[in-house]
Amino acid sequence: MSSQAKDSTAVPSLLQRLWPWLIELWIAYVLVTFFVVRIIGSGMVQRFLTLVRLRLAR
Amino acid sequence: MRFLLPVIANLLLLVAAFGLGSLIRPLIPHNVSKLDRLAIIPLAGFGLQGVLLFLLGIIRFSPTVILAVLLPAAVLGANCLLQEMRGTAISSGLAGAPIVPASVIALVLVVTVLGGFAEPIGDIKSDAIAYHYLGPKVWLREGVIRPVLEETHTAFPATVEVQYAALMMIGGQCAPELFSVTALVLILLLAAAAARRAGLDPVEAWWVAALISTMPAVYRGLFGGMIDVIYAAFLILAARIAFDSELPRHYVLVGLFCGFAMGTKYTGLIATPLLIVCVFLFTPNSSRRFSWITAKYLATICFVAAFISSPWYLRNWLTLGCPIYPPPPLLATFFHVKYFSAEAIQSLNKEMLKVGLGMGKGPLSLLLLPFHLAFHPANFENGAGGIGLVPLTFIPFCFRAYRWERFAKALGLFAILMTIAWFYTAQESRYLIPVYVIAAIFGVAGWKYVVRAAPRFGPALSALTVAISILYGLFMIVSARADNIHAAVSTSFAESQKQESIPFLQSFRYLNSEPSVRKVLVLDPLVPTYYLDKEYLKPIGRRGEQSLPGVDSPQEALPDRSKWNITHVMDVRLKDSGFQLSEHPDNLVLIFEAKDQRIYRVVPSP
Repeated sequence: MSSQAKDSTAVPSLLQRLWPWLIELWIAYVLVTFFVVRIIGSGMVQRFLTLVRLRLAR
Repeated sequence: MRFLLPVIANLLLLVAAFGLGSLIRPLIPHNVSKLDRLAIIPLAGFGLQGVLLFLLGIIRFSPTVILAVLLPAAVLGANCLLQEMRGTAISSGLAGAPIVPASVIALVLVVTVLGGFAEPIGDIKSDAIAYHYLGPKVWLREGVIRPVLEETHTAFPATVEVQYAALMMIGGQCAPELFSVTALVLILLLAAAAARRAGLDPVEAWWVAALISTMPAVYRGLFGGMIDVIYAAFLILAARIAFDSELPRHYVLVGLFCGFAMGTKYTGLIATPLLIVCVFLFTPNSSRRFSWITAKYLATICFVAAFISSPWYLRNWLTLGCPIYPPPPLLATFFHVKYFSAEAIQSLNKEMLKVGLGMGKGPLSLLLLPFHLAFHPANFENGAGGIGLVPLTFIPFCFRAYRWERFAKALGLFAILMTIAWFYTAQESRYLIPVYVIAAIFGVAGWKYVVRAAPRFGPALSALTVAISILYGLFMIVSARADNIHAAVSTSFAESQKQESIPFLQSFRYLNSEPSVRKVLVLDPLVPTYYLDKEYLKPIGRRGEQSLPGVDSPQEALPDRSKWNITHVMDVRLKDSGFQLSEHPDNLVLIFEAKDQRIYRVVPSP
């Protein structure tokens, strides 16, 4: 009985251990996506990068 | 005086709103907080003030009538404020405020106050110039509230706009812009109160307010004549009270706020039934089975809401032929409306559909909506800047934040239903402001959980998320208002802004200053007549409205100019088109000419 009970709690405890990592991964994903889409992808930064590229090409 | 009059006008309107709002105090549930009362009373007052001014204004809308409403209400309001503030020390409340969110809110308030002193400018594409401020200006000039026939949008329910008229009358053209400060303070107060009711502590409620104040998509709905934040406030208060209602009088108050929402924006007609569904499922009295007592309460909400908003819809039905004007496609088949041809209605509806398409209406778009709102907000009309990252990042965890009690569940369901309705009707960002406010509350609840559940990096990552949201939002808001602030403090910059942004400014200045000008015939539909201080006639509106039945083009109005007492004609040339009149029109003398603009004096025909 006791080993059966141990088995049944194995999965939740694994999830419990992973849960904080999942939360942190999710937040990191949102932050990185925001940075890529809204900052690097923004018109202002794109114009700036084009300017830098043109300068370097000269 | 330039700054003083708008401030006095707004203070008078606010105190008067407290006065009229004090009349509904017996309806407020006893268990609501002081913070709730400070939001409920003035907002109920603004609703009642709007209805009262409208009802009197359709008969007579003169300065005397406006002051006869505002002054006694202000006396009542001062008394109400004294009673409500008794035993409440504002200084001690602010002393305990967390420094970061309080500073953020203070900064947004300063930006809003300074920007509020700028005179409204822009062309006819600006909603404020096209109708939010045009209606009030015409109503004041004509001494009666009526739809401006060449601009269909002035027939919208206008609970807020009639108060813009009162502000204009007392404080001049800048005063309605300064109303954005009142709107901002009220939405933050009620959001903080709702956050406290949803189980957050005072510091977290401050963070909710700070996040909302830095959401550019919310901020867009409170300046430049926009009424969306006040509409959202009516709706959220209706929900706030509804989910705690126990007695019939509480449901009367819910109905009042639903009615104010319906009297502010047509979208209130969709939101109210959705709220009723949530009330049915979650009121303390509801056993989730249909009972007569539940039916009675729901009927009370419907009846009061319909009664309080009916003046706008009945006026439209009687004078324009349809309660909702301009009519949506379904109603257009049943009602024959005046002053707007079937083709023009069809083209307007097509345009609305196009604008409201957002990022698609398929199931995948619905699934991806939280991502789209966070990462691509500019793809939704008026959504540039978005709502920050807090809702997307933390709402998935708010479900584990605390034991979900009935109020939070009901508020969550209401937000979900409103989002779905918005998604399938018109995906214009401003229309979703009530949901953004609720999302901030749940976002902070999720943040609280994340800090607890992921103690290693969770607090730092969360802090970074919140910081980015606030800083990005502040950047967007400050850059959106930078010109307004500059114009408010520098008259030379204000003048250069006017020269740049007001089309045909020289003509307007000539017509407004010339005493012989009594009534102007404006030929081009795209001339922003908001800037014209004299009486005018515009036969064709920017969306094809026909203010003179039987007149299909501006030139057709010319032969009848003496019938309409026209003294002057304004003709302009827009890009890709010529003047409407020939070089030497009959019985018209050219008296003013500037680049792309001509003004003629009417010579009586022999």
